[in-house]
Amino acid sequence: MNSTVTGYVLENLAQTPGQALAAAPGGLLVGLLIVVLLVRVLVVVGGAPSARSVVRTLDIAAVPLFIALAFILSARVLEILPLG
Amino acid sequence: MAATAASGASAHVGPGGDAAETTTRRRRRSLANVDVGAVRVAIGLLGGLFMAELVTIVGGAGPGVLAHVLLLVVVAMLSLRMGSTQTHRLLLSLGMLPLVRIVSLAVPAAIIPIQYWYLQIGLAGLEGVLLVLRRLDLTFKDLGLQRTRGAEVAVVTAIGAALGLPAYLIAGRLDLGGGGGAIGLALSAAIVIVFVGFFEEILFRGLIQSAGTALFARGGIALSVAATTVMYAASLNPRYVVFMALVAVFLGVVTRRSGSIVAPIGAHAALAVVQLVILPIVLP
Repeated sequence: MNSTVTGYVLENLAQTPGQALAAAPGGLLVGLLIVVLLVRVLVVVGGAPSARSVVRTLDIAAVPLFIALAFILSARVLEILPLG
Repeated sequence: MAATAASGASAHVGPGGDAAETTTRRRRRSLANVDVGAVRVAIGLLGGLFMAELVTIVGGAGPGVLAHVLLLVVVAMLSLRMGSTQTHRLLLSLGMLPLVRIVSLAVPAAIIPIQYWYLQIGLAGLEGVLLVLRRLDLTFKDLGLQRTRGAEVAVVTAIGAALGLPAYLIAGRLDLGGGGGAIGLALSAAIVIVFVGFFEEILFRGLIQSAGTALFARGGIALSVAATTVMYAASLNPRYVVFMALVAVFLGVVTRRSGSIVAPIGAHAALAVVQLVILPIVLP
């Protein structure tokens, strides 16, 4: 499935972690993650009866996005640090 | 007169005719019982996904991610309004697709070996699948991850491996295992097995088809095939899209007949290993 992306969009994908953070896709990912986490915090603080199910729903998006951000940042660190 | 002839024929047919009539009635009744809301959700989300993929192709990665983010927001808002119904399960299952696409467009692709790109997307996607299971209180067994006959797994996996050749010839060369020696080759094969074969089958056949089957019976196969086709459409290779749609039909039918996704996982993993790891070395 993901190899199909490479068929056309690979040339347009971020070439470096810096681009991945600065370019629109990485920025949108970070923006979406911040919004999801903010809503999650507000829901928890609000203490509504359905908060548990709402938080679990938001986690479905938050955790994968967080993992993706971690990969972007780790690649950035690997690029900056001379670790061989 | 025609009606008389028909009734006469029916009288000759006897029990068989009655059975056919009962089957027809059952089909009409099952069509009448289909949840219209679920059909709207399925068509709406697949349509939205198609449009988002179109935006990705026409506008590039940035606008594409934005389109998928908007679709994901719609999914989240609908999900918060729904109770614990089968339609909710369908919504969250199909909602995984824009999420996976956002991740695949956002993580850096060109500075790392391409197989690690698959690993990054697969890890994030598998975590998403686990969280969908937690949200819906489902188990792996509910997705069809259960024992099945060994012979069936072997035969279907062998068919999948054979399908790797046409997939390679149609899609062209994409080498995931070159240049890494034996260890690199084994690592690439392991990544492809887990993050292509296992991940895509648990997503398309496990989550999406099982949600579709609970709502539309045999329509579950059509749903998983439609989702597969939309996600592969970005290849812009019509022959490859048709080929993968046919593979999805085959894997969907196997899943429906056996009630297990183990054989489709084996087939998809074998297809991907042959296509992406072995053939680029054997037929460079």
